Amino acid sequence: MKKNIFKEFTKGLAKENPILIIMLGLCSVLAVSTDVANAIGMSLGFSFVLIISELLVSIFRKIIPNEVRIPIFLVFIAVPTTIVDLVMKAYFPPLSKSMGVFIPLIVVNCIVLGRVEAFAYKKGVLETLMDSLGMAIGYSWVIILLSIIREVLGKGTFLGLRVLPKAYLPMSILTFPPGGFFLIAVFIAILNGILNRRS
Amino acid sequence: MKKIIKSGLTVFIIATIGALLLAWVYSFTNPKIEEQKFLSIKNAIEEIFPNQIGFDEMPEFKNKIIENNINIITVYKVKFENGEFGFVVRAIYSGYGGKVESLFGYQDKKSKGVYVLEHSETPGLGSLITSKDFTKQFINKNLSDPFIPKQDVQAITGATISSKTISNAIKTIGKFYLDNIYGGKK
Repeated sequence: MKKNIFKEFTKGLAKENPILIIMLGLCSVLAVSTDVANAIGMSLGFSFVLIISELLVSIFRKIIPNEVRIPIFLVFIAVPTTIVDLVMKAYFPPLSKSMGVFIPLIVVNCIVLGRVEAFAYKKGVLETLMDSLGMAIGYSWVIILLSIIREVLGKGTFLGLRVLPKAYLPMSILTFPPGGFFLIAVFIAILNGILNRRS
Repeated sequence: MKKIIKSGLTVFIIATIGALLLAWVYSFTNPKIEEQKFLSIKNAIEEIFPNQIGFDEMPEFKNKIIENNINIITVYKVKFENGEFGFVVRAIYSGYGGKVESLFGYQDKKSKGVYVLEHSETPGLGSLITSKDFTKQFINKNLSDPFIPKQDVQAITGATISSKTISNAIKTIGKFYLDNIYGGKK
């Protein structure tokens, strides 16, 4: 039993990584991972929404009628998302400005709805907590690593501070969505290579 | 029938609780958000007129579309300690990558600078319209100048259109300012 719960946590990190293996909700990943600061903000916002909504669905799963589950899921996702949006606008205005519409768009992020529907609605609270934590960390490490590569090589800066000499010509393709896609593909290839070798 | 009522009621109750929760969060974040909005405008106006001691919106110039499809959102009248006035026009114009929202400062017959609030120009090229190296050339520039890149305006390398649209906006709004605001007030 204990081992099973641990597995629910670790699967999100690599084996069922939401970005690299499940590959849902890539649009906001591409848009937000151009800056490290944005990626960290998005990771925090996304993790908060995912954990809260998965837990709410899991707690109330017995009283949610099957026919109207999707609207109820959406309320459970939209409320924490709006809270994140309002709090960010009030206390971190520059971050909220640079992420623009992608914070409110967490509402329709497929990973959140996917995890809620496929996992939280069927499993107990403890397993759901483990799953959401694993998925949140799995999402965060990929998007932050992606943003570090994109910001340092694409703009020559890290968290807005210049780290590469001015003579370095930035690979600005990396700051565009196509560059992001290439990088994600490279990540997926590396991860699949490692997973294949193991099994 | 019973099932429909039960499902409907569940959705209703959950949505109501969600709405109440959001209303509560909104009630204490909204004043902060309004304050942040005001501060960001104040900082931007200070960027153009560092010696300002206060500013007021001029309601008669709200939401006007002028030449070249430039949309004037509002005009601020900025006061200085010596009793003189400057004007900051907040406007949206079309750049290379989409809409650009900026503040344009004017005083007497001169442009006093420009501050870009929001834009979607090409990162690394057109986005340099926000840099001081580019915008400082519009400080204290006579409005009778042509405002044409490569003539009297130093264009950004690789971003001729972004440079051209912003110069054009300063000139067009400057004309509007001279005809309506400057002429009308003095």
